[in-house]
Parts: sequence; structure tokens; C-alpha cells
Amino acid sequence: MLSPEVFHRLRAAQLRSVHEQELLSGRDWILICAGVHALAMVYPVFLLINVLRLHSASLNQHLHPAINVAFTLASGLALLGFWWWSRYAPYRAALGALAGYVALQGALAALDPHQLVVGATFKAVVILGLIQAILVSHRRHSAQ
Amino acid sequence: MTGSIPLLEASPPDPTPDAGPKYRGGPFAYFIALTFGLTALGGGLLLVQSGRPAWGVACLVVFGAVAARSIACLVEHFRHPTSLPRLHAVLGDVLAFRIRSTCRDVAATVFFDSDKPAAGSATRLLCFVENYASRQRVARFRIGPHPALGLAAAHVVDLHLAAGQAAVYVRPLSVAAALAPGEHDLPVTLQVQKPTGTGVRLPGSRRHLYDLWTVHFAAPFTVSDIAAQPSAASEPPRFLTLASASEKQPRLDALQFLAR
Repeated sequence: MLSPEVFHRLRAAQLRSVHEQELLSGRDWILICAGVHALAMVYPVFLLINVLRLHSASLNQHLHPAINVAFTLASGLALLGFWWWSRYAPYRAALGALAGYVALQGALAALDPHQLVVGATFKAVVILGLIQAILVSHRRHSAQ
Repeated sequence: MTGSIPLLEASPPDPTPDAGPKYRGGPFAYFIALTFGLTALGGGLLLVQSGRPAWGVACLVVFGAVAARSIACLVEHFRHPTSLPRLHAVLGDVLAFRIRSTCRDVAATVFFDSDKPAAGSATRLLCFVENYASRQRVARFRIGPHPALGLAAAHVVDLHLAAGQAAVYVRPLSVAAALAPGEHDLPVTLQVQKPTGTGVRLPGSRRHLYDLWTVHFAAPFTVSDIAAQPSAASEPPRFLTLASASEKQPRLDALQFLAR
């Protein structure tokens, strides 16, 4: 019969391996959010091309499409940056990604509240994904 | 057989035969049967009514064939008797490992024993697997690469698992003396083949687990800065049966070699 000490040792090593796998999963969530955000970028880029190349009137009278594209691009780059950082500090990176994303989208909404409605589904998916990344990395953070 | 990759049988071999239907006939089969059946009937009738009988027949044949295939799977599922052997659930219940998902009905977990080796010492990689299905599986582990563990290229091994079998693959590894102290990961990927069909989940297995096609592990280990006598991994790799659905009790004594 195996001794309880061996069982305990195996469980501890297995739990550590599970936490490591979850850590990868937390990183993946940030990357998935960046991918979803890239999809959300299609419409602002379409508007910008419409205005710049086809010289048509902007569909949104309140905000120049270039500003929208700049904010969206900044959010995407910030997510990628936090994804890279999450290799070293997953919990802080996930918290920073959510805070950065909400701050940038909040600033965009302050300039034009209409932007809260545009792509609301994408924004909700990104925020939920980042919350998931925080929960996953928090489990490991608290276990340490 | 999978090319030049050796197919390992666990020791002792598990004689449990395949049981249950070849196809699972689950909700996906219902969905395909209904969707394609309705498409075949509706599309065929519409095309015939609009004066295109040849296209109507083609629609009926093509979509109807898919629906008929799904219906055949469902019929096979219901014709099989339900007396299946009971799973021991060694990984989740007996050893109390935390299992989050399965890979095509195979529960798996990968870690080091010891996970805090000194540079230059030997350690073991343990790959625990348990087949929750009523038909055999072939679990392919791609271990590495990790040059500091002597794995310059990925080590690929195929493990044969009978229905309900639990087993552990033990791969001794040597930690390079030059490996920097700190945390490291060994990447391991698991993919599972179903050579004799899907089968059904055995009684005693957990049904709410995510079932993935590929599972990536990152087996962690911490290299301590304590000086150790250089030692190579002298023991050969082993593949040991921990439980068989044909036996009443699991064989946890197979893990005796882990006692120090």
C-alpha cells in the first residue's frame, strides 16, 4: 500500500501542474480578447477608408473616424502588450489589461457616447474574457 | 499503427474488450439527423415544385444520405445493451487529482516527481491517463523539446489504453548541470486516436468535463541552486497499468517505485 506521504507529494505536484496549465489558459484569454478586438476594428477602419479614400461624409458626425481607429488600435496594442507581460506577472497583467481596456474605451465614450453602442457585443466579449483571465490567474496568485 | 512511433502496451496488459456502440449517437447526431433530414425533404420538394425535378432528387439524395447516416448511428446506439463495466475513476477519485477536461474521453495529467530537482540530478516525468470510454484509445504524447532535460527533439510516444484502463507513463529525465536555477516548464501535448470507434462513456466517469481534441500541458519544475552529484536517468521508461475495468480493485501498488 502506498504511504500517505507519496499521495500527498503526488497531489501537490499535480496541483502545481494544473495551476501552470491554468496560467497558460489565462494568457490565452488575453490573446483571445486581442483577437476579438481585432475583429471589432474592422468597422472603424471601414469608416476611415470611406471618408479618406471615397471622400464620403462620415457616418458618425460626432467623431472623426481617425480618432476612433487610433483608440481602437491603442486598445489592441495594449492588449498585446499585456499578453506579453502576462508571461512574467499573469495576475497583474490581466488586471492591467482590463483596466487599460476600460480606460481607453471610457475615454472614447467620453468623446462620443455613441461609441458605447457601436460594437457593444465585441466590447462585452472582450471584457468578459479579461475578467476570466483575472479569475484564472488569481487562483494561482492566491495559491502562491 | 502510427508510422515509426512505437505503440506501448501497459504492463500488465488490460484484457478488457471494446464494448458499446461504435458511434456515440449523442445530441450532435440528433442535430445532424434533424437538420439534414428537413433540408433534404424541404429542399427537394421546393425544387420539384419549381420545375427542377433532377435538382430535387439530387438534393434529396445528398442531404438525405447524411441524415440517414446519422439516423443509423442513433439506431446502433439504442440497439446496444447497456451492461457496461464500471470505471474505477483512479485519477479523479482514488488519487484525487484535479482533472479539468478530457481529450477524446481520455483524462490525463502530467507533472514531475520530483518537481524541485537540483541541476545535474535526475527526475521523472509522470503522465497519468485514464480512458473513460467503452472502446480503446491511443494517447499520443509529444514531450518536449527541452534540450536541458536531454530532449533535443520532441519525444513522441503512443500509449494504448483499453476501455476503462488507467495507467501511468514514466519517463526518467536528467536535468542539465548548466540549467539556471529557477522555474522552468516542459511542454507536453496530448492527442488521442479512436482506432475502433468512439463508444460511450463508462458508468462512474464524470460527464460534465470539457472534451477537447488536443490538450497542452506545461509541466513545471523548479531547479534549485543546491549542488547535487551529477546523475543520469538510469531507469528505462515504464508504462504501468493502475486500474482495469475488468478487475474489482485498482492496482495502486504499481506506484510503489515512487516511494523513496
